[in-house]
Amino acid sequence: MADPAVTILFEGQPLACRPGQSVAAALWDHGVKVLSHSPKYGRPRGASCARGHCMGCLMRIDGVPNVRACNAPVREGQRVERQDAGAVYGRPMQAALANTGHLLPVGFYYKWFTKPTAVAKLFMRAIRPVAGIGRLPDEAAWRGAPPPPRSRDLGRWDTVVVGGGAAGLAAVLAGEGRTLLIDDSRLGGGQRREALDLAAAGEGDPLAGLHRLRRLRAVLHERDALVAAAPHVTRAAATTVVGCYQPDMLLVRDATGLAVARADRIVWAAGALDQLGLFDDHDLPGVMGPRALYRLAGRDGIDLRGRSAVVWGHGPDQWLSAALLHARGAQVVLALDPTAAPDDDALATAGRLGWRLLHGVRPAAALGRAGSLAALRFDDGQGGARREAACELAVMCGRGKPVYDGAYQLGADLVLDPLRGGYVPRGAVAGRWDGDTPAGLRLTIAGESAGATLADLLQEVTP
Amino acid sequence: MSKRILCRCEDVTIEEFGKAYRDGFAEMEALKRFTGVGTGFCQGKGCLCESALELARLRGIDPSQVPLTNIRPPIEPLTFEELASLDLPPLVGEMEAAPRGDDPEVGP
Repeated sequence: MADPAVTILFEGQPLACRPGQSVAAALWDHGVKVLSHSPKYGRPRGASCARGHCMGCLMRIDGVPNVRACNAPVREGQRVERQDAGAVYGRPMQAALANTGHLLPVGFYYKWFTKPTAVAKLFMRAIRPVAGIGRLPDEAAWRGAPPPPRSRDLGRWDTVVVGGGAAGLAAVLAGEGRTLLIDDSRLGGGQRREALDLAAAGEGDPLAGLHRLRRLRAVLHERDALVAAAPHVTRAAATTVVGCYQPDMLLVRDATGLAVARADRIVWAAGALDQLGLFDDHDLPGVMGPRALYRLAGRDGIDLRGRSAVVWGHGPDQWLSAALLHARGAQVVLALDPTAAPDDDALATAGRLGWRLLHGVRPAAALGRAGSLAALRFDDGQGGARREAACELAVMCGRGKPVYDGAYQLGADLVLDPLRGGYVPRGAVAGRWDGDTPAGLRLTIAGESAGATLADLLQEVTP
Repeated sequence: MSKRILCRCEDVTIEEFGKAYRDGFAEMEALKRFTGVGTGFCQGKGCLCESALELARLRGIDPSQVPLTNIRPPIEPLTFEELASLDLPPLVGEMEAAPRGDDPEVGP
């Protein structure tokens, strides 16, 4: 640790953290993985996506409720608190409440208790903290604070590309005219860029036998450099799309506030979200997908030395996750699902680096201790042989879910296709859809958002 | 206790989703409103595909027959303070150009 530590106050207790880490990662390094509890069954929640989507990490930070701890950087003297029922009623009461979840069946509507008014007020006061959405902000957190800056108009562009991964960078390079590239990462090259760089620098060169991942890394670097040098391209890094409005407008947010951009053509290449599968207790903190791992073990650099981690699934993300975990010092158990077909070089890499291998297994249950993951139980999918692997972290590398929200809002016709991970554009060919929306926008949906897998993208980049 | 959670934000288990279906909620839009699936903090990022696939399984239909429920902006949490910071001159121009008040559908 070259930089001096930053000290935060977690529920009154000072914790030393590495500058640049997120609050969620800093707490993980101090063994705090349970950041909130679910409203009804009181189930532990943590940073399971680590990318600001799952909201398992909502906490009260410096007196402001509902802050995503996975996106909030640590700062000196920062006050971090859980905001769930336990924070209001105490942990024993929270545990008791968690056992009453069945008294509130699906379809129960809390606004039923609206009469008499006096009872309703008491009921509201009691039930709102149970939902774990916190108290109002401390007055000191907002009184006298300057208002956010007015939103900016980024103007009209020939092309706006959303997503800076393999597909987005290719679209930028293939496009013409003034182009705006919007990406939520700081580095170009998408969610895997940093993971690939860290894995490549790992002890024992974990990527040495993983040829396709090395090729992907080279291609991402090459495309990123070409985009950086292209005079027609403006890059908006660390920028998130907040909403899309027909026919042609995007509302985005960066560190300085909101901005609006319009375009003659929009390329939606926003990638995919982790899909963890629906096995028992898969919602335990410690169970995550590869994209969450790339963030937590990448930028956030959580301490994994000597920790055991299971990487389940198949395909390039499984191998990249294993390589990144290895580079971070974790003990890797590679659990191959029945469809996995690794080549000899990959298997040799696993053998060389001492990864334990399980073949032909499916996750059956996550087993917890003190609210977070302690082991993963597998079966063979046919009710046969059960096996368990002790682990603090399980990375589930199933099919990614295409990110559909922006494409849908721009007017794309989407259809549910489980073979391609979720809702994909109707009629997409080879991970790509081009056409005009009913409102008259030229729209392209590309890459994982159009149902391509990373394996497909690697085919595309492999000579 | 062991559970198989379909929607984390609203705490809906796969059994509860199935029961709601058997109680007569046979479309995703209805199931979303009744069970709360997809209406929590994450707005369906964690559960809408999973729920739609489960509905296709329960109904014995092809997944392509289950349409996506309406996904309205914003797709990221926004504060009211941020919303109040919005300046949208081009859109305001278009809205002012649209007819208002005398629309017979809307009434005076």
